[in-house]
Amino acid sequence: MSAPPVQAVSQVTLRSALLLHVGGALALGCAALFGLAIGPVDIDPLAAWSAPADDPTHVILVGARLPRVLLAALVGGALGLGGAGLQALLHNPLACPHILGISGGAALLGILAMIAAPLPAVAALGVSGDVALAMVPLAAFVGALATAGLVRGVASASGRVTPHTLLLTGVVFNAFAAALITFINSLADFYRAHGILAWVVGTLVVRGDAWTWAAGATLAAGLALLTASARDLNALALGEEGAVSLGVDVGRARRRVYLAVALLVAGAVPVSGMIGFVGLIVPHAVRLVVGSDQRRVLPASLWGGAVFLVLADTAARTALGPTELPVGVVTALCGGPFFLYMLRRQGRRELAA
Amino acid sequence: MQIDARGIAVRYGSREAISNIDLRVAPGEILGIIGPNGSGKSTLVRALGGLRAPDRGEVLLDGRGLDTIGRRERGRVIALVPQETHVSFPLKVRDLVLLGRSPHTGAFGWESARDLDVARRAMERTDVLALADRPIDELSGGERQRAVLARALAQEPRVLLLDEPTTYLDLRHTVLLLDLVATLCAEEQLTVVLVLHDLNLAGMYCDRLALLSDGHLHSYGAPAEVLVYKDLCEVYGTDLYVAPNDVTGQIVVLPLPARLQAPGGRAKGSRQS
Repeated sequence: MSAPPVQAVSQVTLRSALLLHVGGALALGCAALFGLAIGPVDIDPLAAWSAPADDPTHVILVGARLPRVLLAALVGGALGLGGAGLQALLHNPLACPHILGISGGAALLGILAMIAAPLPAVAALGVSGDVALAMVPLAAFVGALATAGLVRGVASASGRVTPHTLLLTGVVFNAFAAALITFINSLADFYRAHGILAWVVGTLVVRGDAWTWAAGATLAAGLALLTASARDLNALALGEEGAVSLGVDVGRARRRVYLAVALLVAGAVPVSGMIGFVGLIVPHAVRLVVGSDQRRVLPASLWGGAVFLVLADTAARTALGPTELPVGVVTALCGGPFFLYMLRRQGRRELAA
Repeated sequence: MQIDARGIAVRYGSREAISNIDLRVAPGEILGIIGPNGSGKSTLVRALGGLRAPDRGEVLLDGRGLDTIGRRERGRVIALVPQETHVSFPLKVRDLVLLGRSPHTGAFGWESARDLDVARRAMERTDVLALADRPIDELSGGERQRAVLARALAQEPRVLLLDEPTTYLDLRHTVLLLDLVATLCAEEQLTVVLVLHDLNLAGMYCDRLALLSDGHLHSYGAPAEVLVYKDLCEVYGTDLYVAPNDVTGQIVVLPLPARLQAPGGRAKGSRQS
């Protein structure tokens, strides 16, 4: 028997994870350059960057495209990472923040906070407009966490929590949240209403530096939490009992993952609404390339999600000429067929087993 | 390590799955747990492995209460081989075996050279090294159980619990797996608890047997003391053929179809051992 196989492959693990980050960053760099170059006016990003400050191409790059591409990368990374974390936790490849209703809950409370912010009653509390708006990501965080708990609670009402009842409950909750948001939209006045509907379909909106920072900070925190849970998530591939027998505190792993996902969603939803399918399909595509080890799947899903959403948003901005398509439409058009393909493949695997 | 169960009971809702069980298993010894469906075999194994804390009584490892031992330490001491292993993602054999090292690795789970070495030796031991790169769901039942056993060995446990590990195996693979368990038990002085449906295998491989009936310990002792015609017929609720075989003298237990069962419970031609 030759010793090398295990030895050789596993020693690469640490290095390959680092390589993964480097490769992911490079891929995102390429996608970002592409996204920066293309738009109603095509520009050369590198030349525009070094152009004088009043040059129109420089203004377009720094004022419009760069914030938008940065936002797409942060939101895409958050959604891809969140999906990978949930799929590992529930050991079900059909899980993602959207399907579990977590995005819907975040959007619902986020919108309520946004509507409440300019109200005189809030101003009377001594909360000025900007501070009040900063409450939106916080409200989204509370909404995400509360939904995760609520969906779990409802799913467990019938006894044991299985991933299937959890997913079903989440889908129902998400539809319910979308209906409530549409209902709120009917009550709100016309100008603000346009903004609200954008939340339901999923559109990237550059709302200001503070919100972009919030998305970046929550992404970093979510990444740290999930990276620290990677070992436990790997063990969960054996099911909860299998993980427990390997010394995993499944309750702690679950709390960590839900907290991480709530953070990721709270950063993403206020600037993008409920973008579907990114968290669902990115981890799948990633696993085809890097295998099933969560120590590789998690970072790869982060970068993969970022690349995917930067490209999808570029398509959304440019596909219909001057009219902008909501990016959620693009991700759904890509993701829907892929989802059906996965269902079919999974069904076949179960039949074969 | 020695396992002691002292008067343990486990309740599911209002139903008591096992009650008042006292057991002792020493290193280098195989205890077989037998009994009909629903008699509490799996529950007992789960309680011994710390997967389910008993509602009454206590489980001791070398005299230490199992509930005072941390999860991770328990993962380094006790390994469990379940009846069946489902994996949600197409894990490779190597990934599965390395998971056995996770109670030993740090928070981020990077394996050291020693972890890799232990995993490799576990795969050699169970003869799955050649399958290292194969996804688990592509393996045959026998290969898969050997890979799961390799994962258990990679934990470097002192206690090995197996819950009907041969259910999906054919005769050859059953013997291969149980031979391997017996060898490991002797060589590494493992404390082994083995749940088996097949009473003949239980008689052949176990040093002692615990016969469960409706959650109670019906009888407990050497195979010849437990595999007794009257007890087995009573616990399993059917007439059986129980007799020593001609080759090894070991006791053979056969179920009898209704047409061969005697009205009084004694089967035609059966010899009581």
